[in-house]
Amino acid sequence: MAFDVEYDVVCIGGGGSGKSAAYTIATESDLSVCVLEKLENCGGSSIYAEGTCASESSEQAARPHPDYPGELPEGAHFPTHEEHVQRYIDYSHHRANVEVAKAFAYNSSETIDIYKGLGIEYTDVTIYAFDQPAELYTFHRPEGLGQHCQDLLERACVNAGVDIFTNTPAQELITEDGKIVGVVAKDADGNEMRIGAKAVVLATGGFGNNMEMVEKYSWIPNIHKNHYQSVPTQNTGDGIRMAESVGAHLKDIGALMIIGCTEGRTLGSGINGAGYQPNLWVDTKGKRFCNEAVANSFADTGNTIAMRDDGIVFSVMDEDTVTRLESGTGSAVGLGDFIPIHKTMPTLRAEIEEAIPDGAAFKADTIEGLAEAMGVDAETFKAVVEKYNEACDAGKDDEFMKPTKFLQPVRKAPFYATKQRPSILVSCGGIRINGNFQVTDKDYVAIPGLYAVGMEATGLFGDTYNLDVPGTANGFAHTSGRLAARHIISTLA
Amino acid sequence: MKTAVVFKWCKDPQDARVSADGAVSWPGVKLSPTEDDPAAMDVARGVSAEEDIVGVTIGDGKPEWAAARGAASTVVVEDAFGGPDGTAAARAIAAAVKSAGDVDVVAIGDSDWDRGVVSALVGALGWKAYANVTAAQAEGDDVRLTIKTPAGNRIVLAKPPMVVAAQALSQEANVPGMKQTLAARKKPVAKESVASLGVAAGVGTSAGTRLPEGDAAIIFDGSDPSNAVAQLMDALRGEGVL
Repeated sequence: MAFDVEYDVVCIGGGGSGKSAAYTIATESDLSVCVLEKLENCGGSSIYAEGTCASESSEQAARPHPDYPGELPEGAHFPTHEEHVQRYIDYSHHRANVEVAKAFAYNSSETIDIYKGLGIEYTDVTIYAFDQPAELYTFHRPEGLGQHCQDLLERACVNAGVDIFTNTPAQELITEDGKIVGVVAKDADGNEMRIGAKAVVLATGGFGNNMEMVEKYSWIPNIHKNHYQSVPTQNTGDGIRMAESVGAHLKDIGALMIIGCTEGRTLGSGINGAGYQPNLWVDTKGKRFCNEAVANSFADTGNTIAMRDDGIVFSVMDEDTVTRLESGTGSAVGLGDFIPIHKTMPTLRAEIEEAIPDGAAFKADTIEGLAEAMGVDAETFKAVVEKYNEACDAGKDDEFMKPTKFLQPVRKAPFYATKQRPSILVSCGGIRINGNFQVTDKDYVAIPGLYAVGMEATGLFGDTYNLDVPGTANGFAHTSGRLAARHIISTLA
Repeated sequence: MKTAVVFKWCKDPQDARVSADGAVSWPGVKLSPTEDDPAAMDVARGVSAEEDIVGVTIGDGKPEWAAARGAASTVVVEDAFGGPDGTAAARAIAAAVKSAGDVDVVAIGDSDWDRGVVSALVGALGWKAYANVTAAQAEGDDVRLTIKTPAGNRIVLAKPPMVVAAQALSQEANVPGMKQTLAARKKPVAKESVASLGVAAGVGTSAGTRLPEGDAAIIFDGSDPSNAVAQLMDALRGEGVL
């Protein structure tokens, strides 16, 4: 078969998982490897990661230590590999693949050591949400966050001899007698390139930005219509499409990592920080619908907002709450580095004023006026606010069981609201793999020469991203890439 | 008019690993094209036709960079390491330029990754040199250079031979695609060594390329706010601020 060029391994996707696979190939074997990245720059979703998941790591072993900040609260502990695995099984209601979960958990600590070898310094090992007791202490926070990690990894790939081709989207897989033998791609100048390969690693980040696939696969109705894109990822399901075209079995496809975000604003903005708080949340009928302390888990919050028929939630505050957030005690719940816990939002009022013309925020001197501004039924909303304030005064939320500490009344004018929308960060799973990260067909037989890694590989999730094990997406991306590469080396070298 | 475009002649400072004791190491780091190398290539293309452009590089890393951008051939001095001694690298580059024969213009990125190399190269060649060049065009036997100065652009019409230190104004606009890059690997590469070119040894070592940005920060322990404020006031008075 004729090719324009041949490599031993082709990694499709230049994010954390693709580069990890390529780096491993280049540094642990004599196999030739290239990365095909469809965008101008590598990085993928990994550049937005705030932390990396691992158990029994050298960083965990070194803590708590007087030189390190953030000693573990009483009762908290760093999990074992077994606890790590079991949490994937439990949270997914046994939809997780034990082979995959074990492969990841038991090899996660090496990812931390590799990154440290590349120059990453970890500032802390913690959890994501301050008030989420279910979380495991697996969240390794790197200095410089995801972008810095990806910069270092890319430099390491280049120095190790990996050929990285950007603006080079892979378009289809080439097979011969049921075996993957290459990839067709379009290079930066639009030339079609036939690239021979003995192994191909699919690392394209899932389908979170492909609304046709979101509509087809997500269990959340209308999310494809109601979604707001808060980070500029472009994961359009290329790997899933290519895998399916050669007989891959798609399994547990549909889970999405969704985050709530103020419409038209960034995750780290003050107005989103305020809207994200466990204030009084109402839907477009003016009705309350949940225990707003769900904000402690952004994954559950995302689902909660997305499950509204129109994907819109109004986060209602009064003047006292805005003052508290802007210059008082600050945030009651955090969102990693996007919304630091117990931090004020000094520009909140200005951001609210700026958002009002856009329809992303609302302000009125009366509850009825706020209802009118939001477009909800005034009588319904007024009754909801009154009942909520009664719960606040009593210190007990009989309707939705929100913890007392989050019960802040809506009483002092002026009144505000932000419009929160569901934002898909990344899809979670899809291509069924085995414990070697080989893509499998409907009979669970590996398709020769084909691997899937990162968030387009099935194996960890059920219907929702598992925030009980924070850092899973990023940790799995890097660990899966490395393990797939090692299996390739074992079969080819 | 023949142009030698020098590329990939030092290491990317971002790849340096600095440990707590100040020691610098470069584990597994290869030489990299600098951020100004594309500008040097633009100068070469402005001055010469493709068949008259030769790429010159040293050390490890990929030698096809200039060929992928239009150079007809490449000379690489494989064992001329871009280490602390910029003069050694400069002498190797100068020798490689001479081995390419009848070069009229040497274009090199005016990079602050290692400023000493450019100056030493000019000295090794003994040619006149122009720095901060943002554009170049051949005009008959002369070269029209656009030089960026604080007061604006200056246009110079100069006769070869010369060294042109080019400065990039933005990121490279058209990175060669895969086809172009693979084709470049088939272009001729003359592999030389320090010995084969008779390159003289360097004259010293380089401890750095720039002075520190400013005075080190003073960090106050904030566990006792009153004490921290007192220390801050003392420091401000000591610096002459108050």
